[in-house]
Amino acid sequence: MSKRDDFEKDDGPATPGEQARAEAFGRLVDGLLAGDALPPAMDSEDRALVEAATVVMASSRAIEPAPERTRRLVDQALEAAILRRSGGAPQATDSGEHRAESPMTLLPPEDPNERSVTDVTTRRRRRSDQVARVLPWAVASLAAAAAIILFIVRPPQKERTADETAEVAPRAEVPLDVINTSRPADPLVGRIGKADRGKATERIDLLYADRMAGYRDLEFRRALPGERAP
Amino acid sequence: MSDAAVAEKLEEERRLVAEAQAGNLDAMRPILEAYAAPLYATVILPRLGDAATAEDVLRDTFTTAIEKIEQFRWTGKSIYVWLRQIAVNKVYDVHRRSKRSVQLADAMAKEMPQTTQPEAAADAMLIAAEEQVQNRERIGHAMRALSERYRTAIQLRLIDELPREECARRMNVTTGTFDVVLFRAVRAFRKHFGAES
Repeated sequence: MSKRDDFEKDDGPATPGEQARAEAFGRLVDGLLAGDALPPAMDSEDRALVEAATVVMASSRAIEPAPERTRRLVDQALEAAILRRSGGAPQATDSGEHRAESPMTLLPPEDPNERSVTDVTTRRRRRSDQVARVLPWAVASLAAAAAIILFIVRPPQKERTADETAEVAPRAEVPLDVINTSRPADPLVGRIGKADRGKATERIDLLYADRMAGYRDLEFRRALPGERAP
Repeated sequence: MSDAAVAEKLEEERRLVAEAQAGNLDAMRPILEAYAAPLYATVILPRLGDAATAEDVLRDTFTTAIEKIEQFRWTGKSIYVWLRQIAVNKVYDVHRRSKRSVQLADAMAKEMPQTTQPEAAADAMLIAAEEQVQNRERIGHAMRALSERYRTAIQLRLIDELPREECARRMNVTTGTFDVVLFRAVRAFRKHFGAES
């Protein structure tokens, strides 16, 4: 039996699953023909089929990238090659080219007036790479030198004079108005013994009564003739 | 293109390559821009089938070419031959890395020479045109092994690029049935192409 017959055997009724996949594939082919990008996530078998379809299409007509896309690819390639040459990225593997390796150096153009933009970019990038390598060491060295100089040339500490060492006289206390003073609770409550730990309500009542007495005292003084509330 | 025009073009190419080898890498730009389309359309995409990967390979090809331009030796033929060889090797690398296309990678290893053929034509566009013919032959060879129905489905949809509905009408089936026929046809093609290319 020939291979052609083998393929004919597959041409039976489709299952619902196959029908759905076939429709999805049909839509993908629509996208291919319209030049759309493939969806990023695809079943590997579907992707293989789309690739096969693209291979067929590419054999029948020249599918080319747009000119602006081509220019961008060339720019990226030039940039990558220059970066690699200047040590900014690893060298390309030899997989694409099987000749013997030779040491590659970027030769300066003979006529400086004919220097290209790319060449100027290379030099500038190489210079910035050198600066980037040296800069951290330069900053660290400068900081260390500055610290040493400051240590050496700092002014000697002066002896304190008698006036400076004299104790500052305590300031005279200004008596506060009664209204601004609190009624200290500690002498009122005293030390709370273990046995009295649970009597918080009594202590609160005591403090409340004390505060009320203070309030009444103030109010009483205000009520007397010739007395002013503070 | 006349012989004189080809010779003039080759001379311009030789001058640009010499300039690039002297350190002015920007001289490569017109060469790469001119050969991007034939490399992509006849070398890379027909061997990969994935536009995004094909663009990556094209860029990698250019990067390698720029990096190793000092190693290129002018033999009176277009640098396209050298670029094409780099591209073919890059494509092979992609197939080798991708487990799902091991079969294609093996087929390519048998088919493709690892060095540039000395008898290759001098003119890039002539080489590209010959390669396009070879690609069609490879596709045609795989298509001949398919049933008439599958061949027709592929021809109408992928080569003539007709809408699904029109393909279905011409094959006298519903659009849904045509989708299934095309799906199976491409699957059969893929199986056969990988095995015999």
